Parts: sequence; C-alpha cells; structure tokens
Amino acid sequence: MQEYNSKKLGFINGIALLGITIGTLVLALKSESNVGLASLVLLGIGTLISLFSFVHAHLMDRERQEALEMQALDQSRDNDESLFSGAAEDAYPALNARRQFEKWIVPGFSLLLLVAQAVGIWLVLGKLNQWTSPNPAQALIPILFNSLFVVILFLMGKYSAGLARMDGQELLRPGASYMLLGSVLGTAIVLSETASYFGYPLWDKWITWLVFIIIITSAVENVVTLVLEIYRPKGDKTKARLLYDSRLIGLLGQPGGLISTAAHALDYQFGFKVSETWFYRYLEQKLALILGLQFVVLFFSSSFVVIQANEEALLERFGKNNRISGPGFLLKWPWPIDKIYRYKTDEIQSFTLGVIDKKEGQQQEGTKVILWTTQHNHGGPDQDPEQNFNMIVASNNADAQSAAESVPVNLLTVSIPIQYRINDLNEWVTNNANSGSLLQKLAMREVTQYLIGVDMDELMGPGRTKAQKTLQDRLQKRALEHKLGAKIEFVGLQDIHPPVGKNEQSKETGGVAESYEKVIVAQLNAETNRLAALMYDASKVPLAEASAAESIAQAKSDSTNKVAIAKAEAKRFSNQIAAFKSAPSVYKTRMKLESFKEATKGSRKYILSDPANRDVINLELQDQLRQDLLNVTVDQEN
Amino acid sequence: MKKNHVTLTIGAILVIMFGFMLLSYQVRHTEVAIRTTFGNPVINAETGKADIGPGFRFRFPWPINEVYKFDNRIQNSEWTFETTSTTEGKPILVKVFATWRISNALQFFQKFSGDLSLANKTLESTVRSAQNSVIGKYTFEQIVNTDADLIKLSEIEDKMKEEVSGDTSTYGIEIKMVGIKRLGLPSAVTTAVFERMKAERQARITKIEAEGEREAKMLRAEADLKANEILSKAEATAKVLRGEAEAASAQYFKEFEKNPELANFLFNLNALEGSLKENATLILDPNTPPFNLLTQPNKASKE
Repeated sequence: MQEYNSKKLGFINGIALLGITIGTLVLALKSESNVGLASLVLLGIGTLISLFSFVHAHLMDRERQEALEMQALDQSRDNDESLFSGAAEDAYPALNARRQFEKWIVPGFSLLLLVAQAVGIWLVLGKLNQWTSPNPAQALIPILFNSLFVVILFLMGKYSAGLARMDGQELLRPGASYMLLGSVLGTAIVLSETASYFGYPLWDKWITWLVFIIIITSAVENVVTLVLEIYRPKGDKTKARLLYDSRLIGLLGQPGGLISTAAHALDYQFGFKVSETWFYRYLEQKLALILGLQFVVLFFSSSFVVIQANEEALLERFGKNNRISGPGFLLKWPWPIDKIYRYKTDEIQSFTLGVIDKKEGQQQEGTKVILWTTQHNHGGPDQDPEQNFNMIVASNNADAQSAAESVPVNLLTVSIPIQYRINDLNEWVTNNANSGSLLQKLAMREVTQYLIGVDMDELMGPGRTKAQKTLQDRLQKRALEHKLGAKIEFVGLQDIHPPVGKNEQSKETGGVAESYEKVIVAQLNAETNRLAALMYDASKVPLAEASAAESIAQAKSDSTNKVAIAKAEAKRFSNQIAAFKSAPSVYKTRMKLESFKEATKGSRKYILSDPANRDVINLELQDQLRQDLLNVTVDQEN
Repeated sequence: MKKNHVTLTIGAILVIMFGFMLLSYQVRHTEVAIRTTFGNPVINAETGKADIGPGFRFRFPWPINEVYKFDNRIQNSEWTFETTSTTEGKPILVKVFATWRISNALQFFQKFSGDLSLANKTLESTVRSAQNSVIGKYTFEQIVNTDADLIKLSEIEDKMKEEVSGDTSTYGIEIKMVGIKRLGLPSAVTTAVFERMKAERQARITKIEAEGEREAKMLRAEADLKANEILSKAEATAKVLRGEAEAASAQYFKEFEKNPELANFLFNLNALEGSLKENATLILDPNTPPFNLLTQPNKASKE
C-alpha cells in the first residue's frame, strides 16, 4: 500500500513539475526574463526525470507483485521445492523487465539527459551573448506566480524527499531533488524580476550566469557519473544507485546534506565504508576548524600585495586615497579596509584619430601597399573604408575664397596615431571618470581646430613636421589643463592625404587623391621638358661655337692657301712666260694636250668617227671602274 | 563541546562581519554619496548639502538608512554628428562633447535618480540646442579660415558652455567644458568640394604644364639665339679673313699682266681641267686633237 502511494506521489510530482514548467515558460516569455528561460532547462529535465522515475517505480512494483504471486504459488503446491526452486529466469517476466530496463533504458535515458543538458547550455549561452534586459512593466504577475510556485515546489519536494529516505522509496529522490531545486530557481526568478522592477536589470544577467553554471556543472556530473559507473565494482548485494539521480541537484536543493552526500558518494564509489575510516572522521570533526582557518588565511592573504615592475598601485583606505605605491612588495591592511587598484602607468597606450580604431589583435598586413588612390582603411581590415573621416581643412586658394557662394575649404582624410602614457596616476584616476576617453576627445578637438586654420598644401608639404610638433604641444597643454595625468609621447601625421571615397571617384577623372597625383605627374613632365630644353641649350651653344671655330679656321686656311697659291702661280707664270716666248705654238699645244690628258683621265669619251653618218667610236680610255662600286654587296634575299 | 565552540566562534565572526557590512559603508575618493533615512535625505548642517565625501561611515541597516553613491569625477559625453547652419545659411556638420561633474549629489539624485545615462540623455538635448543657436550666430568664415585671428571656435565653445550651464543649473551638475570635437560637411557639399578640389588641381596641372612648356621654349630659343650669334660672328670673321686673303693674293695677279695672252690661255686650260674631272662623258669630233691621229695621222703630226 505504501509503495502504491509513493508511485502515485511520483506521478503527481511529475505532473506538478510539468505544469510549473509550462507556467514558468509562459511567465518568462511575458516578462522577457532570462533567468526564467534558463531555469526552464533544469525544470524541464526535472519533469523528465520525475516521469521516468514513475515508470521505473511501476516496473519495480510489478516485480514486487510478481514475487508475491510466486511466493503464494509455492505455498499452494505444498512446498514442493523441487519443482520451482531452481526456476529459470523466464519464470519472472517482471523481474527480467526491470533488469533489462535498468541495464539498457536507464543509461540511455542518462545519455538523453546529457543531450538535453548540452542543448540547454547552448540555448542559455546564446541568450547570455545577446542579453537584453527584462521588461519591468510585466514583472509583477511573474513575481506573484513564481512565489506561488516556490511554495508548492518546496512543500511537495520536502515531503517527497522525506519519503525518499525510507527503504524502497529511493525512486522519489530524483524528482524531489529537482522540485527543491525548482523552488530555489523560483526564488531566483522572483529576485531577478524584483530587481528588474526596481531598476536593476543587470541582476537578471548575473543570476542567469549562475543558472548557466549550475546546468554546466550538472552536465559535467552526468558525464562523470556515466564514466565512473563503468569502473564501479558491482557486487550482487550492493544496490545500484540511480544514474539519473544527481547528487549535485540534491545538494543544491538540500545544502544541509553536504557531508552525508559526500560520504555516501565515497562509500558508493569505492565499494567500502570510506566514511568509517579515521581520516574521514577526523576531517568531519575538524572540517569547521579547517574551513575557518582557510577563511582566516584567505582574509589575511589580502594584506600581501606584489606590485609588478610595469605597474603602479593606488591604495585606498576606507575609500580615501591613501598613497601610490611603485613596484615591489606591499603590506597593507586586509580587505575591505585597504583596497589596491593596479595600473600599468609606464605602458605606452595609443589611439588613432580619424578612423574607427582597429580592434585589438588585428594587425595590418606587413606586405600590403597603401596608396592614396586606392580604397584603404587606416583601421582594421574588416572596417569600411568609408569610415575614414573627411576633415575640413582651410583653403588658401585665392579663387575659391573670392567666390562668395563657394565653401572655401578642402577635405582631408587623416589617421593620426597618438601615443601616451600615464605620468601621474593620482590625476589619471581621481579627476576624470574616463581619462582615456576624454583624452581622445580633446585630441580630436585639437586636430579639428588645427586643421581648420592651416592650408592643406602647407600641411601636406613642408608644414608637416611643424604640425606634428604643434599638435603634440597643444594636446599636452590640454592634458595638463584637464589634469589628466597623461604624457603625450607621440603624435603621428604619416597618414594624411586627400580623400579617396567610392562616391567621388569617377573613371574619367579619378578621385581627388588621383588629381593630386596628377599634379605631381604634371610637375615631373614640366621638369622633364625643362631638362630637355636645358640639354638642348647645353649642346646647341658649344656646337655653334665649334662650328664657328671650324668656319674661322677654314677661312684662315683658305686665305693662307689662296695667298700661297697666288704667289706660287705668279712665280710659275713668270717661268712659263720664258718657255712660251721661246716656242709659243709648241708650248701652247703641249700645255693644251697635257691639260686635256690630265683633265679627261676619268672621263668616258665618245668620238664621232664621221660627223656626217654619226658613227661613234667608243674608246675605253678611262681608268678602271671605281673600286668602291665593285665593293657594293647585294642582299641575297633581294 | 569543543566542536560547538569552534563552530560558534566561526559563526560569531561571520555574524560580526555581516553585521559590520550592514551597519557601515565606504565612499571612495572618486565618489560622492547621499544617505536617506526612511527616504528623507540627511542634510549636513554645516554645508547645507547632503553630499557625503570619501571615507568610512556607519549607518543603520536597510530600510532605515539607504546610501546612494555616485561617481564624483568629471564625466565626458559626446553626441551625434549633426547638421547645423551658420548665420549665412551654410550647412555644417558638428560633433560636440561636454565634460561635467556632479556638483550637488542630492539634486542629481532627485533629477536623474542617480542614473548617469539618464543625465547624459538629458544633457544631449540642451547641448544640441545650445550648439545650434550659438553656431547660427557665426559665419562660416569664422569657423573655418586660414587666418587664425578670424576663427571664433573658442568663443563659440564658451558661449555654448554658458548656455548649457544656464539650462542645467538646477540639475546638480556643473558643466566644465563644451568642446567642438569634429566638423564636417553634408554629403552633397562634400561631393561639390571634391569636384572643386579636382578642378583646382586640374587648373594647377594646366598651369604647371604651360609653365614648363614656356620655360623649355625659352631655353631653346635662348640657345638658338646664342648659337646663331656665335655662327654669325664666325661667318663674319671668315669673310673678313677671306677678303684679306683676296687682297693679299691680288698683288701677285700683276705678274699675269706681263703676258695676258698666255695668262688667259693658262686660265682656260685650268678651268677646262677643273670642269672635266669627276666622270664626265665627252663626245668628241675625230678632228679634235689628239684624236685626229685616228683619222688624219699625218695632218696631226704636222700640227
């Protein structure tokens, strides 16, 4: 009768858990409670376990009835022991069914629970990663109903847990443990909803994390139990522990049973009474002392602090700024009297103005070539190049300024890395809530104000070094004015150029940066042109001088020749006169023929034999054909 | 009994610690706090304010006393990059930031329930309002100019701070600074500026190329001029030299006057000799000496 009642109670427990799980789901969706949704994983698993243990209890009940029937049958056959005493296993179908159930179905169910826990972990983690605060306007009804659930689950769970301690009622324990855990989870939901209602939505997040940790831990316990079950020594007299009965859940539902749960776990795992050994008993007696001592040690360990070489520490005593300590060993009052806040003051910190700063760990590829004319980003590789800021720069262009309606400005893409370090920790920590953020804003302000008053060509040309120095000085001045406690180590202007955007770039004319490059190309072309002219100039004049010298020399030579020849001819003539006078006719003929011979040496001569009939005598009296004409070669291909 | 003694001791320590935590509180040196008793703020009789500075203090447990702590350091906030217009109606994008701190913790708590983000949101509207009204009083040239004396940005920032301070005087906060973080131009104007920048570059390109061409041509022309001058001078010198040679050689021509017949004969021979050189083709009469030897050998010998 008692067994029948416990089986019935197990079923009621399962149905109650199912109802409360559905109710919690509806309420969690209504109030957008993350704690409620995370708790559903454990409540759902509890429902499954309760219903499964009910089936298990039913099988055991059947086995018990079968044993009674067999016993009655034995008695009715006049104690004929020889007939049934060695009955085959087949004669006990309920016993066999229960054994097969425990051998195959229970481990299978434990694996199913593991899968459910894994899915639960995945779902809750997803929820935590995209956490949204609950809706406080819808918190009141869930608070009321969950409070009711807490009471129901606690009373039913406590009653079932009490019954489960009785012999033969162990199957009530898993469901009872989950009911008690459900009451704890219900309390957590009420707590987070209340906090949310009063404007503290973050409580929901932290409590959801706690529930998440419980799910992970129970999943780990499930895995460990399954593995240990394989190696546990199995004796016939040892009653097997239910695989789906979580000690952790039992502990969370009834924390008072911590020591007994630990002892039972050890006894069960090692197969002998570990809890009866002297060491265990000593530990049990002195546990409070050991824990107390550990607590004291932990408390006083907060008095010893080691400040690393790259750190400085700010010591607060009862909240007041006490002192700043450098690297080394530091002795202080224990928490919460003294508190230490460490800062890496000497570490160079940096940010980049003009772009969305690149994410940590994303370094620009070393081999990448960045050109003004191509789309690029000064930040990380995953960032949109359009995010580069177009900063206004003043224009010195006279034409632009004279046009009343035009905006006398240019635009410039900048990416200015600024490096700084904390040089006064007290100021850095005390004066501003977020000194780094303020420094960035001030830096951007200074850059903006500097750029609007400087000419772009000057900035990109000879004024760059001056601009760098001026910006660093100005920013340092601002940091001092605002008592930031920061030393500006470096202001870089290496990434400053005309903008290149998708929008303004056309195939015909290119982008703005390209037009700037074209100016350089034009300058180079002009220079090339000028150098060619210089080269022309360099060769033209000396060549002319050479020609002039040659011409004069030729004239001088001709003159000298002319005079010398004239002189010589005059002298020869005086001699020729004497020869002529002695034989005028012969001399003239001789001279004539000699001259003719000499003059026609290289000429082709045709002599008309008879002027009347025009016969021609061709005398080859000329010299041999010119040698150079014989040397002419003819291309064979032609 | 011994076990109970240890347990009791540890329990007592824990109770003392938790009791201590319930009955005390610390305010960090970066914080300011207010304390309420059953919801009424506790005002310091000396200062007339509810602000509680850093240090360790005792309190009654909740719900008698409640302590609210706020960050007392300078906060900095920035808002959207938004379009506003100058006095002549030119649009300009402005991003403004402000630094502020809690000056009266009780007022801050009453106005914003101690919520910094709520204060930030409230400040946004006042700062944006001040930004638009102040910048609307200045010309574009007073915001962007190469002449530093004409730029009025600091003045604009000071006026914005004045306005925002006035608007938030009862919020329990003190505005430390309102600064212009960034300036920009609307998309359409940006495109127009890009086009103008390109046109400006194109004009510069044309000018540079033309100047280059001019310089090159000038250099060439100058070189030609110099070369011509040199050659002309050389030609003149050559002519002078040749003239002088003519003059010098003329004195020897008198010798030819002694026998003009012979001289002319020799000159003719010389000319003939010169003109028949270089592969001339002659068609001769057979009576021409000495070829008359071919047809009249006797007559030719007599001659």
